Formats: sequence, C-alpha cells, structure tokens
Amino acid sequence: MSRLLVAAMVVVAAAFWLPQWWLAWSTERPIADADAAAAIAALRATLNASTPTPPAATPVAGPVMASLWLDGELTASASSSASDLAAATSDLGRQLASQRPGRESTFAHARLKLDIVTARARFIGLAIRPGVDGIVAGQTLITPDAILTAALPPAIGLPELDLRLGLDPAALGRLIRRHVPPTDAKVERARVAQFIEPGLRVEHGHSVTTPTVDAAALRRAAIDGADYLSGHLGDDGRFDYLYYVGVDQAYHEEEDAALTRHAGSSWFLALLGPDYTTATDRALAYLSTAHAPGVDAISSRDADRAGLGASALALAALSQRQTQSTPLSPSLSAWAERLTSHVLSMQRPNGDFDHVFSVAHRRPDPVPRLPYYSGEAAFGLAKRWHVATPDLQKTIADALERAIGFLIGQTASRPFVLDFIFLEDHWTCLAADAGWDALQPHTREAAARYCEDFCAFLARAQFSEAGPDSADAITRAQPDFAGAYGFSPVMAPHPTPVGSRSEALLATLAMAERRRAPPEVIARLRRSLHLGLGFLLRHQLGSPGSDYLLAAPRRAVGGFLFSDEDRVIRIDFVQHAGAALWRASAVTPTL
Amino acid sequence: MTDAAKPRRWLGLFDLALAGLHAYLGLVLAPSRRPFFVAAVVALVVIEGLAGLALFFGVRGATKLGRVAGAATISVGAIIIIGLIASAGFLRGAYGALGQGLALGVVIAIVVVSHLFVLPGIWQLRCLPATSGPAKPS
Repeated sequence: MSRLLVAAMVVVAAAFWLPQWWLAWSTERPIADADAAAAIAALRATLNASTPTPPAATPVAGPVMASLWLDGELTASASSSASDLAAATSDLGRQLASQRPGRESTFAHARLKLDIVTARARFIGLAIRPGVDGIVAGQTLITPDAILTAALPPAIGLPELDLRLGLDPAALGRLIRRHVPPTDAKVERARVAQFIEPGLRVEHGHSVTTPTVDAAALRRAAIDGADYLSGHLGDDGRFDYLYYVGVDQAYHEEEDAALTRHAGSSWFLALLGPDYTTATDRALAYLSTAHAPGVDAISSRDADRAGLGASALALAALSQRQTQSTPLSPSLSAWAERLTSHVLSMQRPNGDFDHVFSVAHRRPDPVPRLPYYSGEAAFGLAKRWHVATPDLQKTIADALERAIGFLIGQTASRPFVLDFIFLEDHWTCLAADAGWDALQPHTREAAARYCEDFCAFLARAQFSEAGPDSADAITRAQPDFAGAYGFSPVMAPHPTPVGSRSEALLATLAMAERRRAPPEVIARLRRSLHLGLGFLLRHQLGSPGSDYLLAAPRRAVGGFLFSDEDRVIRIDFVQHAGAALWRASAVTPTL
Repeated sequence: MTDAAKPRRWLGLFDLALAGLHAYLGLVLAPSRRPFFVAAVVALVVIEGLAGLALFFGVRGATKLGRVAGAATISVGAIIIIGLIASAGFLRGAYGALGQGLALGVVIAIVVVSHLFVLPGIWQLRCLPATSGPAKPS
C-alpha cells in the first residue's frame, strides 16, 4: 500500500514538474532601457551618415533585429547574431545603411525599432503572447509585431462570452513557414525586449510606461478621444462605426446595437461642451432621421423593431446638449420631447422596461430582453430630469425612482445568481448618480450602497499595480495588465471594460462622497479608479510609442482598440473611455 | 483511542473543516446580498461546527447532530443548485448569446456547488455509524 502511495506521489510530482521543466525559459539576459536607447541613437546616426556613439558592449542572447516603420508598414529591416549590443548595433547599422540609397526620405521619416531576444524556450503555439513573445529559428526572428499584425485567428473561442484565447496553430504554422527557411534550426519561443525610437520600451505596440495620471493628461486624452470621434463623423452625421488601424479602413453599420453606440458617442461629444456642439448636433440630426415612418423610436429605416437603448442614449445626448448655452434646433428639441414620452411609455409597472418596440404593431414587445437597455433607459430619464419642465420632472422622477428600485433589486425579484454577482450595472450607477437629486433619500442611499458593492465586486477582478514587488503574479510578469479587468493572463486586457467601469467608479465615488461613506470605501474606489485611468492613458492610440503600427496615425490618434490583439476601434470604445477620462479630469486632485 | 473513536474524530475534523470552508465561501468569497441567505449560511456553519466539535469530543448525540449537519449541507447545496438552474434558464432565455455564455458559467458553478456541498454531505451521512452513544474512553 505504501509503495503504491509513493508511486502515485512520484507520478503526480512528475506530471506537475516535467512540463514546467520542459517549457522553462533559458537564463534571461535583460537589456537596460539606457543601453537600448543608446543603440537606437547610434543606428540613427549611422543612417544620417554622422558619426555614431556606440552603445555599451552588453552581452545579448540574440538575435537582434532593427526595423524601420512608416505608416504601419515595415519598410526595412536587418538582423544580427553578434554576441554583444555594440557589435550588433554596428552590424545592423551597416546593413540598414546599405538599403538606404534611393530611399532617403523614407528612412528619414520612418521610426527605428529594436527587437532583442533575451531568452528562449521550447515552442508551443498556445504559449505565445501576441505582442510580447517572438519566435526564433536559429538566427531568424519573427518579431512580436509580425505575430501581432498577422491577424491570426484565435485557437479557442467562446463567442457567447466574447472570449478568444491563443493563436490558431495552422495560421501560426503558415507565418513560420513564410519567415523561416525549411532547412533552418528548430523553432523556439523567444522573449523579446522591444524598443521604439527614441528608446521607449514597448509591448503590444505601445509604451509599457504609465504616463502621470493628472488632470492635464486626463483632459488631453478625453479631448483626443472626442477629436477621434468628430474626425470620424461624416457630413451625413454617421460615425465610422469600425476603424481598422492596420489598414486604414472604416465601416458603417446601422443595426440596433450600432445605433445605440452611435447615440452613446453623441452623448460623449455633448459632454465635452461647446467645442463639439456642431459635431454633436450633426450626429443627433442623423439619429433623428433613423426611424421607421411614423415612429419616434430609433431604428434603421426598414427595421421591424426598434431597440430601447438607442432612443434612451439619444435622450441622454439631447438632454446633455440642452445644458449648453447654444440652443438646440426646434426640430431636435421637439424630437427630445417625443423621445421622453417614448422611453416613459416603455416602462413596466415593476420599474423595468420593455426593450423592443414593435414597429409593425406600434407597441412595446415584452418578449425580447437585451443587455444594458434598462440601465440606459434609466440614465436617459435621469439626464432628462435636469432639463425638463417642472410638471414633467415629477413624472420623470417617479419613473426614475421605480427604475432604480428595480435595477438594484429592491422592488422586484431577480434571478438567484444575481444575489452573488453583478452583471450590467454600469449604467445603473451612472443613472443613480445623474438622477441623485430626483430620487427619494432612501433610494439614493440604497443605490449608492449597491454601487459600492458593485465596484468592490469589480475590484476583485482588477489587476493590481505593476512592478517586481507587486502582490499580483500576473502584473509582475506582464506589467501592462495593471488596471485592466480579467481573470487570466492568457486573454489580452480590453480597454472598453476599463472605460465603462471607470465611469461607474466615478459615479459611485460621487455618490459615496455625497452620502459620506466610510473613508476606506472611498479610498478603495479611488485606488481602482487610479489604476484604471493609468491603463487607459497607456492604451490610448497616440500615447508615446503607440503610432508605429498605425497605417494612418493621425486618423487613429485618440482611439482605443478592442484589445492589443484585435486592432480595431469601435465608437463605443472611445465613448466609454473618453467619458471616464473627461469626468476624472475634474476630480483628479482627490484621486 | 478505540477503533470506533478514530473515524468519529476524523469525521469531527471533517465537519469543522467543512464549516470553515462554507464560512469562507458563503461569507467571504461569494457573499449574497440577501440577508436571509447570509443567515442560512451562518446557521449551516454553526450546525457543522457544533457537529464537528461533538463528533471530535464524542459527546452524547454527536452522531445525530452529524446527521443533521449532513442533511443541512445537502439541503443548502440543493437549494443553491435549484436557484442556479433557474438562473441559468433565465439568463439563457433573457439575454440571447450573452446569456448563453453566462448560463455556461452558471452550469460550472452548479458543478462546483455539488462538489463542495452536496457530495460532502452525502459522504458524511454514509460514514456516520448507524447508532449513537457516548464516547468510549480511549
């Protein structure tokens, strides 16, 4: 019996340790930022035909690759297998200089990038971290950028949860065959230190250094976001719904969710005030025409149903716009009144809302349920309350009271599991904060506490501060995760949840301060917020070092990607992050 | 310690560990926002803790208390599972594709709950001796 037990323990230990040993990285040879910056400066001097100052002869595992990037395209590259950085830089300089004749202008405007292999490990496709790891075969290096921009489909997908993990082995195989000669050495994973001119350390196509989170930086970032949206707003009032930054291509969309995001983006522009009034009015004018004949609710013109989200967020945008000194046009003002009636008419007796209006039957359809719409309806009403006539204010306050009561589970039963977790409460908190003055004191208090619980729940999934002393193993290994929300290092962090949750944190913080919540609650909210805002500043396109993979940098500045791996901007990514950055800029001194 | 006291003491330790685990799960890791559910978890933890102490020290009625604790553990687990099944159905029906994903998460939670509540309860009931009595001197 005891022998059997010992044998079982040996098998368990072997099963645990052998894969770790087999996949372990070789001893790392780190590169200091200053050494890399000196190497890049020497390369630039060589390209400018001036005398370079060689960098320190730091030993490198190698190979070392230098590349030149212009408008998202790799225009020239060179690779060296020298054993120290000084020799590699000299070698790379010679190779790049030989490619320069006839391309002087390109070389002058392109940005230099240095990829230095610091460690190797056995190859497993699923273990590749796009944007961080490379692939080496002998002295051939497939850089993290090549993997990141190859548009490799994920290996594992759970579309229901919007989860995509790993890389498609077949597509990865094709990429390797394209770069690596068939006779070359064995393929290995490579840990790559990446630096972009003038010497910024980058991962995932952007700098890993978090900018200072202060009012000026937050305000600038929010304005960049608004500039992105107004720059992608056509004369007809339609936003570029999707913009692929690697190929400079935009697409429009008019389905229900797209119209909701269009309305939300209009609200964000309205939030930023007079500088964006023209753009806001153009976007709203387009929405005011997006409906079936004889129906006020927003939908594509030939749709047989209209979702509540677009109408609710358009109401929020119109109401926000009406807080400005420049008056709204009579037609938009009249439409705002009709939309108010429409949203109120969609409310159920229990405070919830029907989510779809049947165009054919001219009445709410109680069956379809869609995420976010009830919270968005409450938010639209809360914003409307501020600009409504006194008579209407009373009606809206009553509707809002019932809506918030429902959303926080006070006035109606909810599924059992929602007593333990939270789902879509970001809009709930925004609505409770926006409608604070319209709500009864007991509802305010309950909503504020509910949102504090919501934020505490979210904080459990937020990656903590980065750095070698971080208590979070994931951010010790991948500092770029700090501030993002997730549960695994194998899924790239997404900026949009950080944006929407930062909005919820700001709303909750405002409510917590109004109700004089305990200091530890307020401190926890501020800590989460500070982390998230740092993540957003680091991931906004246009931040230092983030432009070399962009086909048209000026058209992408201010945007936020779906993730570092899915390099597409959708309008609501900018809306959520931008709204959080804008509001945070006003409360930064207390963060 | 007699041969009969040994397994009873192990069962007592098992019940105490279970009480600690359920207190952590229900009050720290995944607390409910419903006071009645929190009260139910506290009651379960108290029953399991008392049963654990009784079994460990071999007091009179320990086996009966162990049975009550086992039955309570199974009951709470069953109630949670029924609630989760209903939630999975609601989420799948209400939220389309997103709801299907959420329902998948709930199904995983059902598996976890069955392992942490129902199965330990069943195991305890099976392990408890048929008759109860005062502890014999060891």
